[in-house]
Amino acid sequence: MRLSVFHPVSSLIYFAAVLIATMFCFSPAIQICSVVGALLELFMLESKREFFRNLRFTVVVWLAVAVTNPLFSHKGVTPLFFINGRAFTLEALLYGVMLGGSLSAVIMWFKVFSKVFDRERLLYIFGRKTPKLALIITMTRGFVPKLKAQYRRICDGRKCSGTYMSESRIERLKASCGIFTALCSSTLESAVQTGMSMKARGFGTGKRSFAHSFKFRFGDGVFLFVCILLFSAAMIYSGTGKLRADFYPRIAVSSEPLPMLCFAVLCAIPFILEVKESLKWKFCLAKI
Amino acid sequence: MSKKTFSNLIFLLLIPLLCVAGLLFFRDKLYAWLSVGITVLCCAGYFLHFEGKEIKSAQLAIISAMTALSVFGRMCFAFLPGFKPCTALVIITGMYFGRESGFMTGAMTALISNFYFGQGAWTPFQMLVWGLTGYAAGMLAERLKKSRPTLLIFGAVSGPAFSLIMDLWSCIWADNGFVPPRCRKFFVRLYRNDAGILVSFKEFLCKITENWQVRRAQSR
Repeated sequence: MRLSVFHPVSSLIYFAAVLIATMFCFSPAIQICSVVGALLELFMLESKREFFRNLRFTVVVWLAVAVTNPLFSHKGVTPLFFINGRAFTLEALLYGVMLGGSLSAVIMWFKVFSKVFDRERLLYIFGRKTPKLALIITMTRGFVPKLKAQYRRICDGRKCSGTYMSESRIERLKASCGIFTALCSSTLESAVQTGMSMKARGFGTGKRSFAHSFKFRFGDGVFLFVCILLFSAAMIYSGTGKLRADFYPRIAVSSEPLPMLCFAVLCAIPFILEVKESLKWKFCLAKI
Repeated sequence: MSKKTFSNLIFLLLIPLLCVAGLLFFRDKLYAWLSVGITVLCCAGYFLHFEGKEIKSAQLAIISAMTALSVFGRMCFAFLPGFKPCTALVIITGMYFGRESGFMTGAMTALISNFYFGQGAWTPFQMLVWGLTGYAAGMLAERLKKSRPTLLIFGAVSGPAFSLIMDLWSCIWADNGFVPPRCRKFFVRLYRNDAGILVSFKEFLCKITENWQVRRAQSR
C-alpha cells in the first residue's frame, strides 16, 4: 500500500490533517517535520530533475520570506544591525524563517497532493454531493489542453498569412491579444455545440452513474484511524501549549518530544509506505 | 436539505464551531484559521446552492469554456506580470450569462488555475473574491451592458480590488493582524502593478464585448 492506493476519502483526510497542522500550528517543530516529510515524499514521487527544480523554487521562496520579514517588523530584543535607523532583529529574522518554512511546506504538500490525487479521485470526492461542480471541473481541465492546441494553430495561421510575431513586448502583447480574442470566439462556439450535443444525448434526464472502482477496505480504515489518532494527539498538545513558540519580544520555544514525534510520524507515513513498497519490489526481483 | 436550513447551519453552527476550534487549538494563528475556514464554508455554501438549481447543459458547457479560457489566459500572458484576462472574462460571464455563472466561473478560475500555478491557503480567498466579482457583474448586468464607461469603471475598480483584498489577506496571514510597514509595501506594489491591470482590462473588456455585440447582431 502506498499513499496513491488508498481510498480517496482516507487520503483526503490525511492531506487535510497535515495541511491544517502545517498552516495553523505555530511551532518550529511542526514546520520542520512537515518540510522534511514533504521533501522525502516528493523525492520518491518525482524525477530527480523535477525534484531539484522544485527544491530550488522552494528555497528561493523560503529565503525571500525570511529575509524580508525583519524589514517590516522591528520587534524583538536582539538587533543584528540597523537599516535607516531601524533595527534588523534576530527575532524577526527567525519569525520570517518560520513563516517561509510554513509557506514552502504548504506548497510542497500541495505538489504531493496533485501527484497523488488524480482527476478520477477528485471526481469521486466532488461527484456525489456536487455533480455539477465535478462536471465543470473535469470539463475545464479537458478544455485547457485543447485551448493550447488551438492557440498554436491560430499562431501558425497568422504566421502563414504573414503576420509575424516580433520579439518586442508590445508587439507580442498585441499579437497575443488578437489571438486570444479569436480563441474566445472559437471556444464559445464549440462550447455551445458541446452543450447542445449533451442535451441531445439526454443530459440530466436519468440518474447519474459513476465508473470507478474505489472500495473502502480494511487497510483504508486502519490508515484513517492512525491518521486521526496522530493528528488529534498533535492538536491536543498544541492546544494545551506544549507545542508553541513566542518570538516577540524574546524567543521562547516549547516543544516536547512526544507531540513532535506524533506529528513527525504523521508526516513520514507516505515516505515509509513508499520505501516499504520499493523494498518489497526489490525483494521480489531478487527472488525471481 | 433545503437552501434555508443549509445556510442556517453554516451561520449558526459551523462558523461558531470554527471560532471555538480556533480558540482551542490555533490561538497563535487565529486570524489566518478563521479567514480561511469561513471562506471555505462560504464557497461550499454557494456551491451547494448552485447544485440545487435547475441548470441547462449549455450553461454548464459555457461556464466551463469561460473558465478554461481565463485559466489559459493566465498562462499565456504569464510573460507580463499583472496583465491577466481573468477578471475581465469573469466580469463578461457575469454580465452575459447571469450571476450564478459569474460566480462559478470566478471561483473555478481560481481553483483550476492554481492547479497549474500552485495551490495554497490563498486559493479559497481567490475563489471567493473572483466569484463575488462575477456575481456583482451579474447583478449590475443591465447597467454594464448599456454604457461602456460604467463597464470600464467597474473593471477598473474590481481588478485592483482583487489584488487589494489578496494583499490584505497576506498581511493577516503573515502577522496574525496588521503590521503597518508590510501593508504599506503591499500598497506600493499594488500601484505599480495597477497600470498593467488597467490596460489589460481596457483591452480585453472592449475587444471581447465588441466581438460579442457584433456576433449577436449578426445572429439576429
